[in-house]
Amino acid sequence: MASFQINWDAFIAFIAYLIAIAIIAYFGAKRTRTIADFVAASGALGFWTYVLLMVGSVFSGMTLIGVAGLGFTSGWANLWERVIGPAWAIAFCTILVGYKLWPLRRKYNLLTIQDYFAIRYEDPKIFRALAGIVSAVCCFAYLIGQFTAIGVVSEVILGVPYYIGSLIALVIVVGYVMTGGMFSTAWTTFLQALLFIVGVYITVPIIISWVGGWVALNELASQVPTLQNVTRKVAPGYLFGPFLDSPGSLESTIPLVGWTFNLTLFGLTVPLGLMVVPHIINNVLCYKDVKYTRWGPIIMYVIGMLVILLTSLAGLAARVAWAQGRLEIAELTLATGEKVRWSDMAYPTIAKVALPYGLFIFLLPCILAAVMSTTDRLLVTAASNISYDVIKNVFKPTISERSIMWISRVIVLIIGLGSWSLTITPQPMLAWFIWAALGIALNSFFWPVVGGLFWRRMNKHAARWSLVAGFVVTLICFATYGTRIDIPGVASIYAAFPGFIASTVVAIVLSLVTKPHSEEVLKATFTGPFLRPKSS
Amino acid sequence: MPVVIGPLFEIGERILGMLPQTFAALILPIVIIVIIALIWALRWTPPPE
Repeated sequence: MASFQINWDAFIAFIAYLIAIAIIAYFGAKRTRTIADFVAASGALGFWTYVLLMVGSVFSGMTLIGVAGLGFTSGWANLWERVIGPAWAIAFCTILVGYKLWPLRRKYNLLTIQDYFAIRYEDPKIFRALAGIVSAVCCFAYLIGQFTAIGVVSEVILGVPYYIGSLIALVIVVGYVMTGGMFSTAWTTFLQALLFIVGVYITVPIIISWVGGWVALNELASQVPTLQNVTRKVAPGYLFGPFLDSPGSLESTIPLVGWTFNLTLFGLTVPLGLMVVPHIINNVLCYKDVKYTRWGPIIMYVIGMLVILLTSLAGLAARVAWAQGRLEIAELTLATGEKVRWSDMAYPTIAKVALPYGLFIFLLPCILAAVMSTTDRLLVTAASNISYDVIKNVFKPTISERSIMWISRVIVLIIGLGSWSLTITPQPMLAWFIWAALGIALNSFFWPVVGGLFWRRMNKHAARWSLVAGFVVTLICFATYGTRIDIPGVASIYAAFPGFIASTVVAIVLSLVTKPHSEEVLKATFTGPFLRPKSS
Repeated sequence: MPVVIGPLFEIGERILGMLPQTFAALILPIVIIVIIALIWALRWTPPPE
């Protein structure tokens, strides 16, 4: 059993951060009076609040802990995630969905993406309920990854056991989301996003410099197979050693770094899944002015791409230092008894040795900020899906504002506790939880959203059944194959890919064999292969 | 004891220490995406209400 020694400096930084968040959340709670405030901040967010909400929602514990863990594991071989991953997704979600939905927001007062579905597919009950439930499931899986990240950080920096740190953060986040809903979420995310952006921009260059600088990092990455063989007595090929300095492998049968795996996970599931994942897509219904969609995308992309790129480099630097024998990365014992290198520890562990002490302490609130800025958005989204989309709009439209607000609060508590309880036994790479959630999101929502906005033939039947087919096939594949499907001698692919094929086939076939919606509906919902409807 | 192995490559075979294909795979998509987002911003007009 590991012994823990609390770092009181880090603890003070932790408390100071929580007090700052609590003060902001208090003002958010005061501003929250109606369900529209709770669910979508009444569409009143300003430019920087919106931009940083998108950045803060998409970059999470997965980024600062999970992406660094991935950088430690596979280095440059998954660089695609950095250039067309989260940063691309938020920029193009704003362009393709946010800009196009603006006239509909004004016309129909949309609060959630399910509101759009109800109008576009003339299906105010069944599809809305289906989409709301699947959306809540997505958020739940995503939350597991976030609480894992909080636990990792607490253990390394704060010096408290893994599950206690995540429990403290759970209490704080659930508390302010229950009281302040989307306003508290957006305003706290403003501070949180600023914190982790600055934290990453400052700390990672110092970490790279500690390893020897940019050129040395890259040259050493290519020598890790030899280094790890000499110092750690592991095979040169251990943990993707030969692929760390390449942009993946042209060999399709290698999991994680082979081109088919890269394509199905980082070319498809991550960018397109993040573009339609509920806690991101619902953000485009919260900004105040459509002109934010002009410069917002490029600003989000540049800020976000640098965050994820730098974070992955912290992981690669940790791998190089570990292979050199300069850094110890903790081991994790899996439920099966197998011991593995705990990749997710990479960033905080190298930060501990490479950063000046004061900066290392500063890293704790930065990572917590990244985690909590996503966690709160996930909780608001999941609660809104159940209370507003399912209970209010499907089962009891006459329910009072006050009752629905209280139901939302109770659901926040239940989902928070439920997802936290599943993180007590950690996994070596929390990224798999996030990718699972993105697989479900892509395969359930891609066609209803993108088909609904841009394809006039897409109809209610295609939307309903593509969502069901994508969701069910994805879950079956995860249950049967785990994270990947190996076709012997042919390819290794991400296990969610068959779900995407299923939803695509169902969406296209049903759209072609059943009747489209009336011209009146298609015109009223600005449906068609354009971003900007012609003025009538 | 840290182990450092000297450079295995001749100068000019690498770009900033990276394999040329790694460098290209990183830089080219970023440049393309930034150009697309820039064109979007410059040609942006508000949607009809």
